[in-house]
Amino acid sequence: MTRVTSETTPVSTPTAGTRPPARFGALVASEWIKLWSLRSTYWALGLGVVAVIGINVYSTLALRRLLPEWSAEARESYNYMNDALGQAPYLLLLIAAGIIGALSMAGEYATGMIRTTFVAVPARRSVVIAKATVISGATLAVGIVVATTSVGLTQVLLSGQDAGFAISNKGVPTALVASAVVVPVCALVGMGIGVLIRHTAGAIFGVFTVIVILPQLTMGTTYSWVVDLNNSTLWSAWMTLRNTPIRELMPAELFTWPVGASWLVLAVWPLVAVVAAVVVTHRREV
Amino acid sequence: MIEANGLTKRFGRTTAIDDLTFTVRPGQVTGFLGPNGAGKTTTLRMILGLNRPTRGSVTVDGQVFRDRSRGLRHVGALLDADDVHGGRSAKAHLAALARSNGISRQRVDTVLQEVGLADAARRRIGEFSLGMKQRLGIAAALLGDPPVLMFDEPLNGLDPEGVTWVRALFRRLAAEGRTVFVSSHLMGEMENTADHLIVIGRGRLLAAESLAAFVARADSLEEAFMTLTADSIEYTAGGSR
Repeated sequence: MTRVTSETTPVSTPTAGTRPPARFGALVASEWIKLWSLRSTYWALGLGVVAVIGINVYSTLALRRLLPEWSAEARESYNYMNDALGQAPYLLLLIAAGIIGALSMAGEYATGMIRTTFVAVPARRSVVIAKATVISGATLAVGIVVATTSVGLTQVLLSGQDAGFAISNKGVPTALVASAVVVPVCALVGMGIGVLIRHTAGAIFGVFTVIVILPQLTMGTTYSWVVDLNNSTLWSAWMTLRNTPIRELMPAELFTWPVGASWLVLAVWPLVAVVAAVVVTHRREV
Repeated sequence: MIEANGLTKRFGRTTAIDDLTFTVRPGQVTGFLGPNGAGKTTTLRMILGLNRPTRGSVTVDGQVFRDRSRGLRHVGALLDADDVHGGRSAKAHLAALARSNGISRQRVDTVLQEVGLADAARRRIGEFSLGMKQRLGIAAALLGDPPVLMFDEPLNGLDPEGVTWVRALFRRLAAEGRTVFVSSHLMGEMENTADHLIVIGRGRLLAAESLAAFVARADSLEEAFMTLTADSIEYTAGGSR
């Protein structure tokens, strides 16, 4: 066979067998480059981080002005998590994480980049797992930073006011860990949605449906299966875990599942999403 | 070397590719011709494992491409210049591809230089013209310095300088002993570049012979092509047949 002139990467013969081993780490590094070379990543995560920390600090400042008028009993029974890890800003962060996950796959399908990717790496399952690794790693880091900063700052603001909670209080570590973990959980679920829907707008709508609308649709308390359905949504699982410190004070009809079951919810959703993403990507023609 | 054996692809009831058997040899430029809808792109996609054959098989250097874990050092391909994410810079795009295959960063700069995009490396691909995207696609195909290269309509959107450059590039790649497989509708270009031709129509093989032999069927390549494919044309301007 004719010798092929080599440049930086030598090719010995057209059927050359000596190659550097196919390393999974290289795929992770490649997906890392892909994630951080898109502006949408910075926008989504930046907005999520600023919104959660900013809004929580702001609402804690407001709370601090009200506290002097509160009775000891009111201070005792107040759910300080509502300001330390407020629902509305956290929802924004979870949506942002879900969208980043969804775009990581739908963005490739919608642009056609997926074909370029699979010609470079025919081992499609490895690509999906590398993507899941990068997406969950990046969003977990964000979740840890946001949850600890938000709780830390807001409780510092409440110190000396006979209000708030300490990190060592019962249930607080659970709330913190769950709040950090739910961010990559939503990102991975978004990734699964991105594989199934393949179009960016549709995938983003899917993320909203799962994270925001599903918990709203299952608010009823008349039928136990509806209650169970609600408890098995990502949102309710996070709320249950976030409210662990004041679990005894919660209304009986809300968040009826135990803490353990809520952890299971946070584990099963992303697991199903990643398995579906791997299987579908492997089989599909692109 | 690309070897297709009884390659068949059906989409629902339509048979896009019907029992194709051909060999694309190294050391020469092989042109892949056929009217619109003949199945050229589907064939290229099956070679690359993007579509699954309904029957038959196709191998690249003796192996089914999808069975490889990494592709760039085995096959370089430009299927569609738009198969890129417009939000990334040219450099980030190539860097991600290179990293996945264990190819160095310097190689990214080398290919960007080679295709003439060094100055546009940090611009977002979304701002590129079609010709620039073609150059980027060729850069990606060259990244792994592969023994087999495939190009689907690589001249679309290229300026005259680009066309001359691509012609010389293909000749050089073939002279280096690589397998170069190029689909195109530009008969003049094929006449200038190809050594060998594979012609298909309605998913079937119509001819596989040297350029000289094919041209000898008529007065010119274009005429030989028109005569051979006359019965296989699916889409005709004005609807007349």
